[in-house]
Amino acid sequence: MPVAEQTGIAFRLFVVGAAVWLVPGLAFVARLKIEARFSERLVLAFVAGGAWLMLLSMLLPTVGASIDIALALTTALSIGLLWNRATWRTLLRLPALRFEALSCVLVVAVVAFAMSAWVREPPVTGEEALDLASMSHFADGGAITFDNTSLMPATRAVYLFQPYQLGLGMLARYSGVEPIVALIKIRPLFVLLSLTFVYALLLQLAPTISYARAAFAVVLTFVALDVAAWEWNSLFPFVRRGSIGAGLWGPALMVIVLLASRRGQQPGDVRLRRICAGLVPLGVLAALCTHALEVATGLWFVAALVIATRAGLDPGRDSRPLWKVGVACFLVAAMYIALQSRMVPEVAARERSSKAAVWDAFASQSLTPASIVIGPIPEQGEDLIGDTIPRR
Amino acid sequence: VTGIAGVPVLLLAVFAAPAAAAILALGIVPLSLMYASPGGVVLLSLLMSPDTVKDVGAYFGLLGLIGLSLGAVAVAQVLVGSAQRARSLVLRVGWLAAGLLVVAAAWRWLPGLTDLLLDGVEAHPAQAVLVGALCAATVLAIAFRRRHITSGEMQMPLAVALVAVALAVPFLTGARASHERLTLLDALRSARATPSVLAWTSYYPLLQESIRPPLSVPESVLADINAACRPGRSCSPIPATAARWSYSSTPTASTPSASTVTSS
Repeated sequence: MPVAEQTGIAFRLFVVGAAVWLVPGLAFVARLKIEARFSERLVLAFVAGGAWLMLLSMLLPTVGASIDIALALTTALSIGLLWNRATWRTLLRLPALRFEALSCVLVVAVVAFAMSAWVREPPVTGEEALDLASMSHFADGGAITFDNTSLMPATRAVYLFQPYQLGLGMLARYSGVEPIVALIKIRPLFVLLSLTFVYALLLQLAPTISYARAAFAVVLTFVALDVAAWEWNSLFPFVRRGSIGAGLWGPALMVIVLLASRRGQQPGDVRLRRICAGLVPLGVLAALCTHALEVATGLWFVAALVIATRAGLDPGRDSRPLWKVGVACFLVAAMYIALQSRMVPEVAARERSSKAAVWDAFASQSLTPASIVIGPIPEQGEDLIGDTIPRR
Repeated sequence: VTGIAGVPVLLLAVFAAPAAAAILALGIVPLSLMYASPGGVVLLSLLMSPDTVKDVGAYFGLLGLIGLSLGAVAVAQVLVGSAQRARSLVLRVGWLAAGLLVVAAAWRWLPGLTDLLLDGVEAHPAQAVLVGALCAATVLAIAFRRRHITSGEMQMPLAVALVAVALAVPFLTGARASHERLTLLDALRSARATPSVLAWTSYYPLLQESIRPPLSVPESVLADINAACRPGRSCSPIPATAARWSYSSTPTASTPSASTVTSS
């Protein structure tokens, strides 16, 4: 395909992708006049935009509406949020750019990484096939029900609500490309977001901005020198929902939880903290609907943060908001699991039986209390600790 | 590499970023201990899902990489900062020489040490987890003592970043790790030789192999179905090639008859 045509497709995909995943969130951030760094605003926009997509993915099958309704509602929401000149000014405000050699190198490197994701296409295997089937049904433009977005006809999808596939469907339909092209060629946007979110995470953890930038240079070097490993570990994510969960939702949730606990003296800091605390449960729900596994590790990180903060290991953070956030996340997860089990009973039954088998196998070993805790490492643990992770 | 090397390197990071090191230690090590314990794995399987309980490499990889990067920057900051603050030219040259020596030593010995570490972890995962737990306990103790120490803005950040990168790269260049690595440049080179999804006719045979379940529908049949079917409507009449292919093939799970193929 000629370069000009490829550029056109890339431009359309990037613009529509940004409109689907970021614009509603950016409008929300601008409307609330949130004072934060550019990368943090991008994280907030992604979480808020993801929460909006999740609401749409609940609404469409419930009322049997088509994807065009999702577009109309998203447009109306964005216009409504931006119906104010001051909001536009906030939205279009670029990051305060100072010419600093390291920052310039990092920005160029991140853009180069994203562009290279256009050339290195992700594989389409089983998980992508499921996503492709669902997004194609969304992109068709017909009425959506709970039973017509799966790979098989008249079958309920494993994930009851599918915000990621809905976003991909919107991308394919409104950028005017085939679903499979949209699925594969949207990767540059995801690489850009994933790396930006890791930078935002480093900004939260490192003691200074320069420190975070230097650490980010190391991260980028690792990704460049071992890209296959970081494709599997989702910093150069594949386009399957698992990679989106690990590479985008994982770091994004960590960042907003860290923002929700950051102590600050300015009135803007308190506001930012409250907004982030409010967004966390919505983000958790959207992440659960995208790929539930990463929420478990994300909640583990929250627990680590609570302990570190309560123990006084991080005087720059306040643990009180984290308790509320933790409880809200727990309730959201419990409600989601209950609804999912009720609405997709076959999957719930299969899950119950595999858990029962695990429990039966464990109980049949008649281990002593001591060997339950410090017995031989189980196969899953050995795979994880002794084999897979060191290689990657 | 990062999941394993990230924890000991926190012992360096904790001197410059105590809070971050403590959070990372608590985020990585207790979960590793859960995976190392029979009861822990069962508990995690019941809380998560038995099918996906060990698919947490991305989490360990991310936190390990962040720990490793923070540790590398901590060392680099000491080297560059000391050279920059030195009052006399002799001292400055001395610190620069020390920095070069540290980087050279890292390039000389770290790859071998990393291989040794990976071998050790593979052979004795239980001991590796215990060593990780000891490292984490030490990190927490140091972080608690240094919790009120604040860092000033870094001087010469580009130099620090370059030294940090130079210190961190040898973790990846071990003999065992090298043959499994694919650099971005190599990946781009191989990608240019692979058909793109934008060149559909040459891409389709690749897709037939990679997708699960595999696709046995020939591309010409798919093209006919695509031409005849429009989203939201049934495919009628069945395209000639599709019909021929369907009738000359025995429909199986992986080769559905054309009349059951739905449009998308």
